[in-house]
Amino acid sequence: MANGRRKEHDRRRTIVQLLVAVISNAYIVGFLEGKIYRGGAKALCVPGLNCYACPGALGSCPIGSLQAVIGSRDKIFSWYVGGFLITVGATMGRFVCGWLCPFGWLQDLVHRIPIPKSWKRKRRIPGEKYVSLLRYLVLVVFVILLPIYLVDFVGQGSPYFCSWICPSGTLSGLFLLAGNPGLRSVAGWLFVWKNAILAVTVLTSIIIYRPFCRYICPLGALYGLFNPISLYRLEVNKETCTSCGICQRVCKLDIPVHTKPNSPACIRCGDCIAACPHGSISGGFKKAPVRTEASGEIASDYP
Amino acid sequence: MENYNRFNYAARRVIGIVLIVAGLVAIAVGIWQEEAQIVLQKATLICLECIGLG
Repeated sequence: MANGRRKEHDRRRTIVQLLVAVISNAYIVGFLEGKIYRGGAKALCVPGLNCYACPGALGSCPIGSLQAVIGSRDKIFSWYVGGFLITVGATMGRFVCGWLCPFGWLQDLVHRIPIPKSWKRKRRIPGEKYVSLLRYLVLVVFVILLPIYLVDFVGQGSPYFCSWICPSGTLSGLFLLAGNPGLRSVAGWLFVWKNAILAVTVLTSIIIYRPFCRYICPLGALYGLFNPISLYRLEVNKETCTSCGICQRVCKLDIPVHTKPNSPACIRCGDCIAACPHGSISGGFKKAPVRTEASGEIASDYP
Repeated sequence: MENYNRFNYAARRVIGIVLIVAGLVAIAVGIWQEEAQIVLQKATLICLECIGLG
């Protein structure tokens, strides 16, 4: 029963992720001719990490956009991108990571690659608690401080996160370079460095679930701060929850959902909701009705 | 452990709604300050830094 629910849930999430990736990268001409979309829609941000240098991208990556604005002369804050991030974060938090981020989906797909039995998939790495703080450091240093303060002679900062770290941009670059011989001729050491990061990210994703989202992604770090107060939230019915721990066992991020349903690390994939044998976990924008253990009926936990 | 009493739920919901409204106001301010134009200009040129060329 729970297995059937989980499979159906997994299928539904994959379809949503596929649709979002296709719709936000629907400029087919770009892939064929090695160029990018230049229409007005590029002024709009998409919620997930989807590089605007991707040949198919119809919108802009919020992290790239944030660096573009605060890196320009006379700007140290972006009302436009900051407002977008606050609005999306306060609405759904890291639901974006679990359902709407194309780069997150790529890691999901890679994680499905079958591996030999002797290689165990790991849900945590040694020092997980501290390593996962790295994403906040990346956010503060590479996305905010360096673009503002490490500027050229005209006062223009570079998008340092995009330049030195972001594997999503590198992937976009591979598509662009494939169709654009002129760009291929200028690829140098930075291109090699960034491809190495992309390769490590992809290969690590086979063993560890979503390594980039957990340890590096500044967008996930930011959205995660909103998880405890966002309108979309997970709830646990304390009357029916038996603390059996199945939610934590099925969670690929190893989050104890029954005690911390809105942890900043949770990407809100919903696996725990589908797996809970008591129907005690719910996710939504409203305080959801919950199934009572005794009767199996749907009842509201509003007083 | 999170406390799911009514006040807790309502307070979090109010904070969320206030932040969404503040975010929408900030977006409007950003458009007024022509930040959307900066994003558009950057996003409609191939970002060499993003793809590892610059």
